[in-house]
Amino acid sequence: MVYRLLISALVITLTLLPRVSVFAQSAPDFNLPLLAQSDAGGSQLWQSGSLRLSDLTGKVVYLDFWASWCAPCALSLPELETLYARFKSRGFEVVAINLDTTESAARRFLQDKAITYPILFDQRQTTPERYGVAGMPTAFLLDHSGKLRFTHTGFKPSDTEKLSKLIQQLLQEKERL
Amino acid sequence: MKHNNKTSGTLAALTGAALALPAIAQLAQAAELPTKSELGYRYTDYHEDDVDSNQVLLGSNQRYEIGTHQLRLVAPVGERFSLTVDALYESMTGASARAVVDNGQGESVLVMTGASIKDTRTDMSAELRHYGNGGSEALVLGFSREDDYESINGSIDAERTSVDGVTTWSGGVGFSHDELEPVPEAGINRTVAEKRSFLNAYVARARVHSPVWQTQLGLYLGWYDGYLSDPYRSRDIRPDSRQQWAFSGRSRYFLKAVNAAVHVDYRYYQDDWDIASHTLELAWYQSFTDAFTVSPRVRYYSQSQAEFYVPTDRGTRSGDQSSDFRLSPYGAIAYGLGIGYYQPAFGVNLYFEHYNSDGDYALKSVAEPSPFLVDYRLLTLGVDYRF
Amino acid sequence: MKVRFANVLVGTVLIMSVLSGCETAVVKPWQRGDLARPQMAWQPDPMMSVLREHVYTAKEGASGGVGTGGGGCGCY
Repeated sequence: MVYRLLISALVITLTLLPRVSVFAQSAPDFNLPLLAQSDAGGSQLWQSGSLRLSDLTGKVVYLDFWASWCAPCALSLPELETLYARFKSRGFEVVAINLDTTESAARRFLQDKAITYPILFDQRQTTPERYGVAGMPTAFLLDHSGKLRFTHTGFKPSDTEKLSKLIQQLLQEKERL
Repeated sequence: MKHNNKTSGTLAALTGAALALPAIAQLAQAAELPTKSELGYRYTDYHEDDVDSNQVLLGSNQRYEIGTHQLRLVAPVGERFSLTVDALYESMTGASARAVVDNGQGESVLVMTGASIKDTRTDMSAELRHYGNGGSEALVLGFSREDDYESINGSIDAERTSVDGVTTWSGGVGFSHDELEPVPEAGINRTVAEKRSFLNAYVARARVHSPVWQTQLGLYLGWYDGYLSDPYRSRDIRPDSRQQWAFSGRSRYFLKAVNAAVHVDYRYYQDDWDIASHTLELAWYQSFTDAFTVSPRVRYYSQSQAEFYVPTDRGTRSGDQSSDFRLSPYGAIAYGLGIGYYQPAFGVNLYFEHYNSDGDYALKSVAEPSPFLVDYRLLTLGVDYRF
Repeated sequence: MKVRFANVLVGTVLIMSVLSGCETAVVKPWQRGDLARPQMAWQPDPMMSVLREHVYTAKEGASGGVGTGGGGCGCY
């Protein structure tokens, strides 16, 4: 009974104070190739043609799982570009993992979208399994220490503002150090 | 093997963690909220073949020609609702059968109207759908109006998808209330006003079997109550209720190697007028590029007769009777071909169908097919615009 | 009539259970790209389906059946 009460109290606390991330886990690391784009953003980190998540430790990372056939993904990718442009200078990164079966499908989808953050291609589709992706799109917000802090499923236009607040919260945590 | 264990361990740990993480948008949406608005228009030219003039005793041998305009708007409303508005307007000309009589040589011949019949039909409906909780639910309201007929209808439906996304249950109930006011004709004793109501319900279960295969099985029930006869036929007396049920199965299979989707739809139907029918439809959706699709289809239909179907009208016979060809035993084969060109912002499509019905196409042999079995062709031109 | 109705109910349940039995591994959300294709929908062109159903209902003795729902993208 006491045990149950304690659990409930904990759950309520966690819900009300998302800052308290007692259960936060480290995001599983991966090293994936960049999706070859004609005008891929040429930041120093991924000139090698691949990106390792752990290389981004110290930054706030929005990790997005998407596919060209997923309708809400057509909304989210340009919105993430907006957030990326806004917070990039403060140490915010967007990493979008494409889960199409062919690279060409992803490339066609990106043709008319000006995306400058790195887009990775996971041909073997092992990362969504490791992250427990339960629907498309699913995204994870990682804090500066590489811990999973928030999950985000689906994408609606109003989500940009909600995400902006959470990103700022994590950036403030980082800057307080 | 070792690797697998490790992966599932990580997954289990992560799933646990994910539950404790505050989710921003928790509710999964199974039926997808449209992300864009879509406006569609279709024009259909429908043409029935003339009746063999040897089988017409009186009146015109020209059957219906119908021109149909359809307009549909689908739009997201906020972030949890969508609105679909359908409008249909059609105008028809042509003759219809008033009676089937014996020509004295043991053959059934038709008494037709003149070719001057003209009618228009307007049909409007609106659907408001809510998304959330792993599914969606909708309310639909509509009306339909012809010169001699008015109908209001409505339905509610809901669908829920399992957490793993594999199984979707859906169900709904619908009703309609129809009022008929047959056009009076000098010298003919015709009913002035009649009513009927219709209630129906369905439940279906869809499943995803593999990354390229999904099926749906469903059960349908319908109840008619009220005036179900044809007021324009000289002697048409039908029961004042009708109970129907149908079992249906659908399959969608994607052939990756040739970039084509194979559709198989089957329906078994039966009602308490003793009509039983089989409908089997096969379609092949061949994509040549992302933009260009050609889709041939074939549909087979066969039905047994209603227990009160009569080949010829007889004033002396008592009880239920009708010589309506739709209650006669027959089979039909339809061939269709669709061509579509799709771009993200617009689409154009063309569809042609030829329908041929015959006593010989029925599953069981038919002694005397109705002389009024229909053959038609239709051509549809459509455009879609997304914004 | 009632006997036949019961037969079909039994048949429906039987077919449903057979189809349930032949499932293999659960299809993951990211494996649904082909299922999400428009040509894999129950009704790829709903307006065309409405019109054809209307014609068949007007010209045939049988009518009714089941609508849509399920399968596809499974996106959020």
